[in-house]
Amino acid sequence: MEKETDLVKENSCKTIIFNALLKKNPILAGGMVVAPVVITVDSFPRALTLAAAFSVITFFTLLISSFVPKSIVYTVRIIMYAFIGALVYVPASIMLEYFMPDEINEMGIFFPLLIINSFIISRSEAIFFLESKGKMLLDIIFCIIGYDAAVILYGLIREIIGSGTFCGEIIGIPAVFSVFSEPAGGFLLLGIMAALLRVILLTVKKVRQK
Amino acid sequence: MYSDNSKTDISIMTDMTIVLLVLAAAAVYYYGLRAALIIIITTGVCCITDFICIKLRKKDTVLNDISALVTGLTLSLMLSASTPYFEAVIAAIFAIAVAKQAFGGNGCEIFNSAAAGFLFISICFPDNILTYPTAFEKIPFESIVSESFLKPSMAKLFITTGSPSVSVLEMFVGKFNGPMGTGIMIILLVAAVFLTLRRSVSAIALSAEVVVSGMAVFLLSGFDLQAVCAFFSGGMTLFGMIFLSCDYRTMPKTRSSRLLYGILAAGLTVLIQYYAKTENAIVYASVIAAPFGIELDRRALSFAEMLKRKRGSLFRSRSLKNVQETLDILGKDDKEK
Repeated sequence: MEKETDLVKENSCKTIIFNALLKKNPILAGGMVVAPVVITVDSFPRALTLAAAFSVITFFTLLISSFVPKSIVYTVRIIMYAFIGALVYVPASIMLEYFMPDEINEMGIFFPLLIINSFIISRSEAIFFLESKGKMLLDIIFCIIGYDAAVILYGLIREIIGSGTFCGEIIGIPAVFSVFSEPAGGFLLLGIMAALLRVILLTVKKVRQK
Repeated sequence: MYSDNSKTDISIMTDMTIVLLVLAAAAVYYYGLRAALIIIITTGVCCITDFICIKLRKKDTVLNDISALVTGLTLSLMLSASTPYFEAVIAAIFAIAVAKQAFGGNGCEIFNSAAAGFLFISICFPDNILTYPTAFEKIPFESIVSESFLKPSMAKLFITTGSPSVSVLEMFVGKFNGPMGTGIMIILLVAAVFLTLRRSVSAIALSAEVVVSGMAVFLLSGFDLQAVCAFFSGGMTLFGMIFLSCDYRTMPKTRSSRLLYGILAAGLTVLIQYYAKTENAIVYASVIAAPFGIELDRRALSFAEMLKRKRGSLFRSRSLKNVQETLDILGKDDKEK
């Protein structure tokens, strides 16, 4: 009996991780927090900056927001999440500006806008009142990892094909498609990546069914 | 079926192909065998990509679907005769795989696929795509043509200086630096009449575009007719109006929305050319205006429904009024009796 419950727990944890990383990846499957990615992430270092900023702000905001009781009216809850995000932003910005001052400045308005990103609202409202604290934490951590991985991969591909460089160094690829450095090309690349993820997931599903 | 008239897809496509083949022949006459090679490569890659995409989407190939051929020919005529072969291939793949098949294939596009393919490579490789060799000059067959052969287009000079650098006669015969097959006004005018009479191009949208943009340029250029000619022949304006923005695949279905669509496309073309100082403004305008076409259709239909409802209630009230009047008259008659 104990073994069975453990198995169920393991399975559910695996499902949470799989969903957070791939099946319900916040950016490639959910289309959340897309604007800062398309506008600011045109190189690998910028991708790392956004990933760091998003991780710090989102994790601590969600962690503190989980203590907001359900009894509070929905509208007030949302305003409270924004307040918590703003509070978290102050130490987070000091810390990140200490480690990467230029990169954070380059993000411009998109850095402070992270405090009211759609991911915080959707996660806090979707899972906080349905799951246990442990599962909730696991979900948040892996969702953030999934987002960061997608952003870093996106930044890497965009820099290589859009500028023909890696971390600013020319790598000498035969053709550079400068359109991918522009926002229009950024949307296009994100769409292609989302479509590829869907193809991979469908293939995995078919293989499992066989 | 794209259109609301009795013409079928294949009939419209055949008419388009005939006209495009005439323009392709003129391009080969002007720029030699390299132009022919680019036309063959672009069209071939378009057809092959279309076939592969249809197979990947597990759909049946339709034998009488020549839309990929039309896209290939349109795209190749928009290119410079000195375009590197690799870039022509990229444009063709993008036009078919991304701008056509990703949206559901023939008839489901939200903008002209040839325009999207051209814009993609003109943003990626502006140095190679937006510089042109002179007509009747022998262009080498190497993929990348030396810069000594290449010059900016007549449209670009017209935008920067404000006055055309060639005579009206040269504009009519297409003897100026520009894309391979988009500046021969005399053929384009015949093509416009032919396609309009054959109902392969919407007469309402095309005439709205030509009249509105022509008048706007005439006013903006200080009543200079030569500038109007330069506007239509350079920057592929007339070609774009016929083959890009009046494409039946992306054209609105109702007459009123076609008129509005034509005015919108014309306005955008003039704005982009005169205020953004961008050559080939019609390509951008057709891509921007195309999604509005769908919305215009929707608005036109809801407006028509509203009118129908209002008319219905009006008729009801009229008939009720008539009945009341009849009853009153009958009552008076009875009292008199």
